[in-house]
Amino acid sequence: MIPVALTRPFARRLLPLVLVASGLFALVVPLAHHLDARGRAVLGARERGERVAHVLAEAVRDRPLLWRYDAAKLSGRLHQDGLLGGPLVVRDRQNRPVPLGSPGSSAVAWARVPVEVEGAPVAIVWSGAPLAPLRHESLRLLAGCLLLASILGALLFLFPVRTVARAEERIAALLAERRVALQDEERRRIARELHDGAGQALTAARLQLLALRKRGLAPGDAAQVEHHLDEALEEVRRSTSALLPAPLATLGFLGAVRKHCASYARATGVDISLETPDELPELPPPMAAGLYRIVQEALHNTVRHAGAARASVRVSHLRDALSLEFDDDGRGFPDQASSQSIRERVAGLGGAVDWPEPGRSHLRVRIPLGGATP
Amino acid sequence: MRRTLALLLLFAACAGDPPPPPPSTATAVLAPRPEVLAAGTGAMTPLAMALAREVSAGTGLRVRVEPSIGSGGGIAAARDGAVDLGLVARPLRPEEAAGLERIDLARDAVVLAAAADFPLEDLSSEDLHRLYRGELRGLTVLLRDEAESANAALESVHPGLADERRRAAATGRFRVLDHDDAMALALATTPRSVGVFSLAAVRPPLRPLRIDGLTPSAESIARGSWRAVRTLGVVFRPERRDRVMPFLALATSERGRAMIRSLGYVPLETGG
Repeated sequence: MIPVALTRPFARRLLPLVLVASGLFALVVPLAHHLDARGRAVLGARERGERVAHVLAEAVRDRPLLWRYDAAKLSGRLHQDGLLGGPLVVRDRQNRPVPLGSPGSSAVAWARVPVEVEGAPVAIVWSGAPLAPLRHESLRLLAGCLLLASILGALLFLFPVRTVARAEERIAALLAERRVALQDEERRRIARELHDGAGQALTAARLQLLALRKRGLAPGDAAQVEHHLDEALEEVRRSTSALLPAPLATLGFLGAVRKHCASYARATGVDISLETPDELPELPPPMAAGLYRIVQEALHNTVRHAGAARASVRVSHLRDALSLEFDDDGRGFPDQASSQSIRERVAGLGGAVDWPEPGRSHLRVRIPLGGATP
Repeated sequence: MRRTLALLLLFAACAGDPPPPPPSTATAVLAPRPEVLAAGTGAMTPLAMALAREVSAGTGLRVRVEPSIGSGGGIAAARDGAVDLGLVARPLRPEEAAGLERIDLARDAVVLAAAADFPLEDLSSEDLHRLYRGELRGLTVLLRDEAESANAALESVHPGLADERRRAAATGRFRVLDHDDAMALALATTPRSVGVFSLAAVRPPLRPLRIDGLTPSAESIARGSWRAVRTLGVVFRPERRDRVMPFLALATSERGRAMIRSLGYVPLETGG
C-alpha cells in the first residue's frame, strides 16, 4: 500500500475551525438571548416606571406640598395597579428617598424615568428589572448550547475526517493499482523501444552484412556496420534508461526522421524520398518519440515485408494534427496483425491509422496536436 | 467604526440606565413656614379646618390644613418638620412616637356610608360579610386602602371582616379608594354604593347605615354601644409647641369641645 497523508493534515486544519465554530455557536446564542432578554426587561421596567411616574404626577398635582408623605397610600395604589412587582426607587427633587417599593437585593437593570408636573421636575423614578432570573436562564441556555455545540462539533469533525480517511484508503489502493499498471506499461514501452530501436538497427546491420557477403567488403562497409551496431547499443541504453531515442534528443523530430531515412536508405539500398515541412510545432517528447518510432517501423516494414526498391515518406502539418504518409512500390503492406507496434503507438497518441488496402502500400497516420506548443 | 458604535448602542440599550445614586442623607428638620401647617388623616380634616378658621379669626394666626395624607403621612411630616401638626387617627408605633408629642382631641365613629339610592337602611353583621364577598347583588362596595385606620376600627368589631376585605381587594373587582375625599366623591357618583367612612364627614346625600340595629351617633359612641371608633389627635415636635399652642388651646377648650361635638365627633374630656 502506498502511504497517502491526507487524514492527519486535514484533521489538524479542521479541528481549530470546528472548535471556533462550536465555541461561537455555544456563546453567541446565549449571549444574544441574554442581551435580547435584558433589553426587553429594561423596556418593561421603563414602561412600569412611566406608569409609576404617571401615578406620582397625579399625587403631586393633588398634594403639591406633601405628596411624598402620602407614600403609604401611594404604595397601596401602586400595589393595586400591579406596579410594585419589581425593584423600585423613588427620590424627590432633593434626592430624598420616597418610601415606595424596594430597590431589590440582587443585580438590577434600571430604567430612569423623571416625573414632571407642568414641565417642572418633581421626582425621579428608577424602575428595575432583576437580572438574576435572566442570568439563570442564560446560564441554562449556555449549558444547553455547550452540550449541543459539543455534539455538533464532534459530528462536524468526525464525519469529514472519517470520510477523508476512507478516501485516503481508496486513493492509496488506486495508487497501488496504478503503480502496477504503470509498471506493466513501462515494461511494454521498453519492449517496444527495444523492438523498434535496437531491433531496427540490428536489422540494418544484418542487411548490411548480407550485402557484404554478396558483394564483398568495400572500404567503409565495416564502419557502417559498426555504426548500426553502435546505434543499437545506444538504443538499448536509452530504452533501459527510459530516455528518448538518441537522434530526437539532438536533432529534433524532423532532423531525426531525415537522418534515419538517409542512413536507412544507405543501409538497405532502398531509394527513400522524404517530404517534410520546414518546421513543426514543438512536440512533447513522448509524442515525438512515438512518431519517430512509427516512421522507423513503417520503413522497416517496407524493406522487410514489401521488398520495395523505392519508398516515400511525407510529414504534413495540418491545422491541428500531424500526418505521416508512407508509400512504396513493393508487394503491399503486411496485414494489420503484423503491425501491432504501429497500432499501439497511434492509439497511445490518440490518433488514427488509414490502413492500406490489401496489395497496396499507402499508409496514412494522423495524430492530433493537442499537447503541442506552436 | 459604525459597527462598533452600533454594538455599543446595542449594549447600552440592553444595559439600561445608571442605578440610582445614594440618597441624600440630610436629616435636618425642615424650617417652619410662615403659617402653621397641619396635615394627616382625612378623618380629622373637617375638625382641623373648623378649628383653623376659628384660630385665625380669634388670634390672627393663619393655620392651613393640607389635603389628607393619612395618619402615617401626618406623623412623618410632623417628624420632618414639614408640617407643624400631624393629624392622626390611630395609635403611634414606638418608632413613630420618638421625638413627637401627641394630644388626643376626639373620638370618631367609623360607619358604612351609603349613597342616596342604596336600598337598605340596616345591615346585619352577616350582611356585612356578604357585602364584602360580593354576594348582595346589585350593590357596590367601595373599599379603603390597606393603610386606612377606619378599616382597623370597623374590623375590630367584626372579626373576619379584614380577611374578607383583603380577598375582595385581591380579586380586583372592587374599587379601592385612598382618601376620604376620594371616597366621598365615589359614594356620591356610584349608584347603590356603600363604603367605610367617618361619621363626622358624612354629608347629604350620603347617609350612615345602621349595623345590627345600632345607629351610629355621638350618643351611641358615648354610651359605648357603637364600638367601631377611633381616637383622633394631633402630634407635633416639642420645639413647635409654642407655634401650635393657639390651635391646641382652642381644641382643648370648652369652645373647642363644643365645636367637636357639633361636627359629629365625641370630644375627649381631657387632652393628653
